[in-house]
Amino acid sequence: MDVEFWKPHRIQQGQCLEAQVGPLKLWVRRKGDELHIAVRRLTDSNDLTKALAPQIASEQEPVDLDWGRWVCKNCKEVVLTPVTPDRPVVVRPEMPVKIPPREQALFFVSIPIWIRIAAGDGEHVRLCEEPSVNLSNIWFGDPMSGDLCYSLRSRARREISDSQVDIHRAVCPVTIRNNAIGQVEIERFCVHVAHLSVYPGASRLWTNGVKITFKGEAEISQLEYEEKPPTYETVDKALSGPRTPVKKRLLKRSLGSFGLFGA
Amino acid sequence: MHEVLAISWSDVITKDFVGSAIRIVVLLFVGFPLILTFAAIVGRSTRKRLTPQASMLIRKGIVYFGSIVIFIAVLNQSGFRLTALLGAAGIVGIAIGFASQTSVSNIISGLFLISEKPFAVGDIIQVGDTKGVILSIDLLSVKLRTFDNHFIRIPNEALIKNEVRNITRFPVRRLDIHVGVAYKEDVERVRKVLLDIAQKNPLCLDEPEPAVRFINFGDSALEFLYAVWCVREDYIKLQTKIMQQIKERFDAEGIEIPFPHRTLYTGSVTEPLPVHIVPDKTGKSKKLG
Repeated sequence: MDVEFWKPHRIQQGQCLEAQVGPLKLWVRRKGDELHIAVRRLTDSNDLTKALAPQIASEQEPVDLDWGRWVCKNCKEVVLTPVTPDRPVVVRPEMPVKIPPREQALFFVSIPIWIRIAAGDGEHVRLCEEPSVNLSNIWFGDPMSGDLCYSLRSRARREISDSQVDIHRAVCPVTIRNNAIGQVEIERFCVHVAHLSVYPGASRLWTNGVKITFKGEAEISQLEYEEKPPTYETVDKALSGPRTPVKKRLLKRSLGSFGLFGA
Repeated sequence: MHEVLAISWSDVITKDFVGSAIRIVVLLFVGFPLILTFAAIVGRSTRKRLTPQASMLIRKGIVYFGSIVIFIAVLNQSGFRLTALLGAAGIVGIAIGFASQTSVSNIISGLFLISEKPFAVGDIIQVGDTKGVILSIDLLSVKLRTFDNHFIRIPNEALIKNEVRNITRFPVRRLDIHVGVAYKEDVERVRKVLLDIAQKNPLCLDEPEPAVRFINFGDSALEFLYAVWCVREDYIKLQTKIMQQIKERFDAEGIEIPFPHRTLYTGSVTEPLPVHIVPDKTGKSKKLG
C-alpha cells in the first residue's frame, strides 16, 4: 500500500488536482480564496480497482460535474484520508454460516471506506467526506427501535489470501464466538465501524479487529474492539482514528434475524 | 348638601389607606415578576428531565396559582370580605361551570394527552383529513402546522374522541404502491423487475425486505402491492424517486401499464361494426369498412 497516496499534496492557485480511489474519482480546484470539490462514482468494472494518487489534472475536468465550494484562504495543501463509514455496517454473508456452541470463526470483511478531504497549510481543516461506494440502507433491529446502517453483501472470507485487494476497501477482521447453548446461524452481523481506526498495511488497508460474542437469541451480544493494529500483515501507524472513542467492551445487538416486519 | 360632600383629602388618605395602597402596589409590581421568574426557573430546570408538555404544565400551573394568590391578597388588602366573596364565587362558579363544559372537557382531555403521550411536539400526526407537524400541546388544544403552511387548532376533546395517527412515531416506514400491469405480462418477470428497482435504490432499505404481492385480477390490469421500507425522513423522497423509476424501467423493459379497457356490445345478434377513418391526401376523411 503506497502511503504517499494519503500524504498532503500541494495545490497552486488555479490548479486542479484529480485522484481516484477505486470507483470514486474526485477533483479539487483552487480558485481565489476558494476550493472547489467535485466527485464522480465510476461504474466501469475496469475502474473499480484503479488508484490514482492526487496529481495535477492531466486533462480538462468534465463539464457536467457538480462542484461544491469552500472558502479556504490558506488552502495550499490537500490531504485525502481513508475513514470508516459514518454509520454501522450490516454484513450479510452470501452464504449463511453456522457456528456450533463454544466455537468461534474469524471472517475478513472488506468494508468500503469513505474519503475525508481536508485542506490547509500545515494544519488541515476537514472540508467533506465522500463514500467510495454508495451502500444501500438497512434497518438493524425491530421497527420500533433499532439502528439505521449500511448494508454490505459480503463473501465473509475465512482466509485473507482469498480476499481481493481493493484500494477503496479496508479489511476488518471479525471474530464471532458462540457462547450460546445451541448453534447460531450467521445471516447478518453488525459492525459498529465508528469505533474503528484505519491502518495502511503492506498490501491493503486494515481496521482493528472486532470480537462479537453471541450469548443467545434473547441476549445482547458483547463486542470487543482490539486496540492494537491487526497483525495479519505489517501495518503502519493509523491513517485515521475512530469516529467515536473506543470503549473496549460494549453490549450491543450485533447478531440476529428480525422477522417482525411482515410486509 | 354642601356640608355632606365636604370631605377633606386628609379624611380619605389615612395611614391605613396609604399602607394598604403600598402593599397592593408591592403585591402587583413585585409579586407578578417574582412568580414569572420562579415559573421560568422551574420551567428551565424541568425541561431536560421532563417532556416539554409536562414542563409547560408545571410552568403554567405556577403562574395561575400565583396569580390567584396575588388576586386574593389584593382583594383582602382592598377591604373586601373574602368569605362573602368566596360564597358569591361559588354561585358564579356553578353558573360558569355549566357554561364552560367544553373548556373543562378540553382541559381534562389535555391532561390525559399529556400523561398518555401519544405524540410529542415535532411529531407529524393525522386527525381525520388534517395532517401536520405539532407546534404545541396546550391545556385546551393542540396546534398544528400543515404542510401547506396553515395553522390548525384542534381541541383536545376531539383528539381524545377520534383516531389520531402518529406518522413519525417509529423510525422506519413502509411505502405501499399499487402497480397494475397488462394481462399479457409475465407475473414473475414483473416481480423481479420491481425487486431489482428496490435493490438499486439506496433510499430503499434492504431489510425489512421489499415485497411484491400479486393482490388482484383487476378490471383491466393485474394488480400488485409493491411495499418498500425506508427511514421516515426519506419517505417523500423515496416515493417521488421510485414512482419515476418504475415508469422508466417498465418502459425500458416493455412492460405495459394499461389504461382501463371497456368492451361495448350493441346486442347479442348485432355483429360488431369495424369502422376505421383515415384522412386521404387531400385532407378529407375516407371511410373504410
